[in-house]
Amino acid sequence: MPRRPSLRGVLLAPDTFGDAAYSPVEARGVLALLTSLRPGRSWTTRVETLYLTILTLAMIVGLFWGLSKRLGTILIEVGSFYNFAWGAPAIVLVFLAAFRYSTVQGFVSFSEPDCVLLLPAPLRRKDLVLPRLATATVLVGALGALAGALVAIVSHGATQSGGRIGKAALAGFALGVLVVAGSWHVQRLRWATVWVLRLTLPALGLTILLGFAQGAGSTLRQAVLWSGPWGWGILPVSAEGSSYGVIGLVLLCGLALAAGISLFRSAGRCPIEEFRSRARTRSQVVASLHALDYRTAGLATKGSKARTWQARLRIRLPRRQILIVPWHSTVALLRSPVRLGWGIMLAGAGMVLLALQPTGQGTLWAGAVALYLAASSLLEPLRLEVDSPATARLFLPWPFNKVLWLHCLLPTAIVVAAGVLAVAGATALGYVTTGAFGAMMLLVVPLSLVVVLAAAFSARRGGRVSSNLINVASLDTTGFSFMFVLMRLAGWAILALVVTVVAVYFVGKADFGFGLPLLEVFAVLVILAIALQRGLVAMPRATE
Amino acid sequence: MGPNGSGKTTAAELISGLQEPTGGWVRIAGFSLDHETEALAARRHLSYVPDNPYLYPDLTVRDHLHLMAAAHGVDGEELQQRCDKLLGSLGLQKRADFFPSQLSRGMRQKTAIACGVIRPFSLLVLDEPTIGLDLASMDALRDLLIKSIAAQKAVLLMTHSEEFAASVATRVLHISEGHILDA
Repeated sequence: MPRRPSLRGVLLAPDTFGDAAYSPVEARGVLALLTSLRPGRSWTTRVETLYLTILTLAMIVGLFWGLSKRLGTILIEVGSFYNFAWGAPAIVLVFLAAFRYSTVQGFVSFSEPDCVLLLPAPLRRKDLVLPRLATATVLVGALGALAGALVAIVSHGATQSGGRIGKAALAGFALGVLVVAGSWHVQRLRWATVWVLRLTLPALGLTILLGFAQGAGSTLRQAVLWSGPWGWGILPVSAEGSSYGVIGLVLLCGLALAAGISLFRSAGRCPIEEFRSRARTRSQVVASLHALDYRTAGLATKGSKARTWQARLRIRLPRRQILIVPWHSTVALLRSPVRLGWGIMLAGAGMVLLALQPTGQGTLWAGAVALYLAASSLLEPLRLEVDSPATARLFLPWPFNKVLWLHCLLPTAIVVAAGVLAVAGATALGYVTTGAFGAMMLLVVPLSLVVVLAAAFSARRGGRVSSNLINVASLDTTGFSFMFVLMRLAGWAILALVVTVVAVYFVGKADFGFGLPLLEVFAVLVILAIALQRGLVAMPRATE
Repeated sequence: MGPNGSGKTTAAELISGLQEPTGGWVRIAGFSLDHETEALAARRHLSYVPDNPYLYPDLTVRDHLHLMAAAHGVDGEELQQRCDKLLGSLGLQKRADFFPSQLSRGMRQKTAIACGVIRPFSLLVLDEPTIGLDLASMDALRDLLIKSIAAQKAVLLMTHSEEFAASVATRVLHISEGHILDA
């Protein structure tokens, strides 16, 4: 028999708060205690961390530099072709990205033990939140200042002056403060989170309009530059004149000051629930990333609550058995309308870019990437099937790979429909020639099929990577195994993109009047589609 | 008491301020959780032990008790005495310098319970505190709750175990679909 522990002598807390009830416990002392209780790190650990940080930063900067040069060329090529200016849209996109980030994380984070043990304690919440907010403001502001100074240097070349760089840096800092302040309000206010999620697509549309307006005539350009902080931030580095730059800077700094005051005043007003849900998400994401499972990490940020209308959405089951899988795809896509909207928009944009008979590589790549992303987005029902393969194997009468193929039918139909409508619209507006329209009508079906099937090869991999593979790779000090894991993770996606680019390349060379004969391109695409379909159905294993 | 999904944890988290009510209000000892200054007073009265023991991975059992006591204004000799006696009564003395990763689920649960009762409180909310506890630890917890009730503290216990509830409760409420069925 285990000895029963005695409670004799345990001091149960007295209920004598008295006047002390209203006075908070000093947060600084508690935080100092928490720091002192945590085991200190040895200097070897610190040196190792520093070494790894420098190494990682060097790799990221190297990769970013290489990519940015290539991406920059593409962006400038596409932008100049359509008179699209990137200044105001880039600032809006930064705001949008930060706000979206704040709907799942934000600049102020607490761990789950913090949320359950520390935040419910009688400490003034402002004292716990404000140091984190201050750090974020300084860091993001400094990054903004650096970006502003770089833009000033790059945009004016040898003619730049110290004053202009200083003004640009100050504008960047003010924009950084605005980003943190806006993000904090998105993080703490539930309704703001909801509206950021709802307005992301319209805001992206508005961003595109801003870019075209800024690149258009002077009246529209002036309207954009004075319409808000996205324009005021550009004025100090634009060619509008020094006085306009100063006015823009004053407006921006005034707004940043107001934002800073709102940060200070609202620092204590964020429900524990918001911090806790973000702490949970972070734990799930970190756990998934440790297992190199990027899909689960991504899903963790989406939230699991189904909206009532999504649960109630019903479509009658088809009578023909073979249509059950496309029916499942339809229901799944209709229940995620944002994904469906993205897919349709990207598919239409991609097809229009190809129908414009691009001569530049940038436009060709942009079209291929848009089509690939559209197909990949619309293939979410296939990924859901791969996430739980046992369900299909138990309940459906076909081999699993055939189920995956059947999941490709609806995305193909959507890409075709979106492409036909977009190209027809562009033709009606006079952007696409009648000859190109006819050629695209011939090629749109096999091209869509090739793109969707190529994306399906990538989507069928699912999120999980074999734990044996990760364990073996972690033991290998040469680094080759790590490269193998990377190829395992991204190989199919790269291959799918390559196939898409090849298909698009052929379409680009099709005889809209010159180049390869149209029927030859059609035949190539059909053969490619058949080969991909056979490959998908015959693949030995759908999941690891 | 109530079946899975009946709203026990939601009720406990609403009362303890970990979730925000979509309607209505919560008052602890007359203090509203919505009002900033009153919430401080309410949090002095309230102690919550969640169903899952959330502990700092880099702090030992003793560190947790010191931190929780300090966060509620308990320090000095009183803290040391209370800490030692609570560790002894819950059978945690030999593991006082262990980190959470070195503890079993039951030991972690007992640490979370100790964190909940080491500080002054008027209302103790426990969500499924018996998960992972052995019989001796359940007896210790039962004694702790009975002593708390005897010391005029209110204890709100969410549990599946009818036997455990019957041994400590002066009143049993059944909850289903977020509604109290009977009293």
